[in-house]
Amino acid sequence: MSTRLALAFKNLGRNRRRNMATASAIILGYAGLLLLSGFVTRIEKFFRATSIYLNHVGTLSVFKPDGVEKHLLKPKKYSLTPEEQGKTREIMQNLFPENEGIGTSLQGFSLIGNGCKTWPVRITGTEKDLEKRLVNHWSVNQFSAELLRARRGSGIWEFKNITPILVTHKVARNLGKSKIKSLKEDAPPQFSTSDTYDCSDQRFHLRLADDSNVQLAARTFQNDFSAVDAEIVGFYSSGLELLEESAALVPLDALQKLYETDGATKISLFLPWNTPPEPAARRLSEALRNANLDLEVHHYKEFSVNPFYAGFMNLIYVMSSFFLTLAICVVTLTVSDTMTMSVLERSREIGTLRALGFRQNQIIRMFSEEGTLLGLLCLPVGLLIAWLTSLAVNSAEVLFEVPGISTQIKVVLEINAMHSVLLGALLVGVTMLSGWITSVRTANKALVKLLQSHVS
Amino acid sequence: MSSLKMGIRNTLSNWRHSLGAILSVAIGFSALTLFNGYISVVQDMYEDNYRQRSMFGDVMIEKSEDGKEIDFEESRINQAEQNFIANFFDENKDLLDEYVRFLIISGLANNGKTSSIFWGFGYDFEKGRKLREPTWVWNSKAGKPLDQQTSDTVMLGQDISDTFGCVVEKKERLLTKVGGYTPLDRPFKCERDKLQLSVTTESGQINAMNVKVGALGGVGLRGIDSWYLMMSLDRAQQLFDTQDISHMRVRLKDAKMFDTFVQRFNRAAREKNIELRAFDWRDHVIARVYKRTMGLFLMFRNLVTAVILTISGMSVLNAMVKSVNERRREIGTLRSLGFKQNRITRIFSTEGVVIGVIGSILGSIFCIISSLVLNKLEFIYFAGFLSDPVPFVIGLVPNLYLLSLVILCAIAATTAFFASYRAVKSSIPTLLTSV
Repeated sequence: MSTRLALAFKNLGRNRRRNMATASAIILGYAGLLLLSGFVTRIEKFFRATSIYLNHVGTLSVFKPDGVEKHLLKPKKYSLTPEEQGKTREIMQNLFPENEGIGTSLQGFSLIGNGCKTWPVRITGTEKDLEKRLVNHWSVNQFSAELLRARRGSGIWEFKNITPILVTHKVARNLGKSKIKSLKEDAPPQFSTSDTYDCSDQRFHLRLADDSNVQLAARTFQNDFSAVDAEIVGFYSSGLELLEESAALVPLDALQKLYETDGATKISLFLPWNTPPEPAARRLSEALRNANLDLEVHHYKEFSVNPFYAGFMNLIYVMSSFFLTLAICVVTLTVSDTMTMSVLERSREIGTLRALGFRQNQIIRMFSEEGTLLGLLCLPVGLLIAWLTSLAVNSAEVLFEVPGISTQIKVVLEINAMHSVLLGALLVGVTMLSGWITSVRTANKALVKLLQSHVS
Repeated sequence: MSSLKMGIRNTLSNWRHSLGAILSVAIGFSALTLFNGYISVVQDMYEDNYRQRSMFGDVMIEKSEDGKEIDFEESRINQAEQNFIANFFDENKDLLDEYVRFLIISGLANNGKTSSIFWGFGYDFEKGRKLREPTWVWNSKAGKPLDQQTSDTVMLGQDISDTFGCVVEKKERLLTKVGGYTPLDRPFKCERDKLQLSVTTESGQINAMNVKVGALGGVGLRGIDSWYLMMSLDRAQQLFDTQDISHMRVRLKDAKMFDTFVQRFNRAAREKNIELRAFDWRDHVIARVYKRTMGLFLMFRNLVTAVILTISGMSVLNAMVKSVNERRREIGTLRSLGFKQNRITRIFSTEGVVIGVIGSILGSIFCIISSLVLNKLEFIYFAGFLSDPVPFVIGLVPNLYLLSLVILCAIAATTAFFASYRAVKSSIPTLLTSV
């Protein structure tokens, strides 16, 4: 083995210039693929952290059958009862003791008003303690920090005696609200209920802007009218541009009070970051079935519960796969081309080796090893180039506008170890195969013909 | 001319040497053209979705600085400003094909059992139809387009129609290969076919109106279709108790006249101290998803092009160096016959161009065949924010083929020049004695 390896080394050194050109093609191909995978990895992590934690999708979520599509149409029918919620939580806890959180949430529509003007919002009710853990999750801090920076004010978990509400910056703007209720005792409000309501008076609007109080109005699950008072305790960003005009977040109990229900739209399970969601969903589904609970389990990669993640990543994966295929083809043919020239040039050498007693498959193996070696030598260089480029790009703090995302995010190229190994193995495989394919025909030629062949 | 002749003759007579380079060019050409062909199709889908389906036309007229974010309610175009626009259009008929008035609407829709936020537009039905020509005249997945219905009907986007329990009786793939839906009045049923729309008017009053769900469709963009509702402009104005509009969208007779139109309009508006501005709809805040998606495509395209061209360039260089090295004696002979050094490098560069052309022709043949095969397979997938699944299609774009040919010929010529440059500098005896 070591003799063959030494021979392969020597042969590569003989045609240094040509092999350098081939190597540079492999190196650049590998570096390009690594950088692309680094970009895709970063985007995927941003979307994953944003949707699972900040938009409460969860790693897994449990709905009533057809509840994903119909919970807004018939909220009462498609809500999880307290009994179902209790049993599901228990099963989740027993099945996945390693979980990072289990949370109930309720979703619906509501009108939010400032006394003069109302604005429709898609409102989410979530458990206060869980919300605190989700916002402070390490992945949110690491991958969706831009969205945290867009937050103003406090979290809903920080208030006890009032109904706190978070609204997006655009909802606040549409309502003409600039005041955020602070945790400290507020100064006496400039606006008092004894003032005369005059919505056509601009001064009155200024007073309204300086008051954090809003009114939430909605139809209850029993189809009656209901309203509650709430205080704006913060502005936040949902992360999704299309939700920015109409998103609001309140504690679960407050929304249940507004809708006059003890039901919930879904229960979300938050599993450790790298847990594959599909097998976990299957396990949970089976456990729920065994407990005679007729409920549906979804995971965050599904189009139905997380359309932005699924749709966007789908496009990115299709484009990347297409590029990967083309890049591999280009590298394969480039290497084959070089190897063909090399094999043809060395026909006489092959003949000599055969005459010395080398078997055909030994010669083919020698060329394959030459290809493998060439590939292996290129990988560290490609990795180094990709790493240096990623360092340069990451330190340049370039901002990038992701379609559908409400804020610019920093371009971070993350060289993924797994992708590096897989892509490297693929490229080495390709170079090995090229060496093998190109040498088979020549090695099988008659010995006399090989010895008589010319250089070109 | 003699260099060209010699280049062609050399390529053909040394075809074994040139084969490697030709193959490298063909591979690079194929990779470049296939990827860019795919990207151009996806770009066209998005463009078509905005320009025709969503009726954006060529130009938008609004009270904003080139589409920057504004408060839509406070920036409506009043009657006097609408008259100014109408007069301007009358005076500039030579540029104008069609224009449509739009009012942005938002509020809460209720069917008696379920409520949902809605967001959308009131617009002139008839004129809107013309803006959707030719691909999206039929823009409804179920029911007839609004221009074929009474003014009290509304069209709901895909997801909001699910919220109101609207179901298309027969589900099928509607998107045709050239874009647009097959014009067919597909029956659908909603839990309740009447909706009550509640909105806040300019004066802060709550206003409500009953409408009929006449069609399901939307604009084909996920997220937007979750709330999307379209209705007639007069009904929308009635609902919001206003005669104002939010903006106008204009389709020009010739999109190339964009600059002329915008300059004329903005000058006229400035002269009359009117805040209105005409600008490219792509710069509008509503089209941000479009712009960002195009930015993403551009980034992918640049990265892929750079990688492919570098790999191909290296491969061609490799082949050319080999070819030159094996013809050192020929170079020596030419030099001894009196050929100047730059004449010889020119011959090799011409040979590079010939190799580029032959490689590109071979690459084109491969691309056309593989595109036709892949397009025939109709692999369906979701392309980002487009709500309808679309087939994986690679576009056959002649300009792209031409551009790839030019780029690869340039690369081949440059590499041939550099490969031959060092050889021709050697002394004639060294060249003539080369093995």
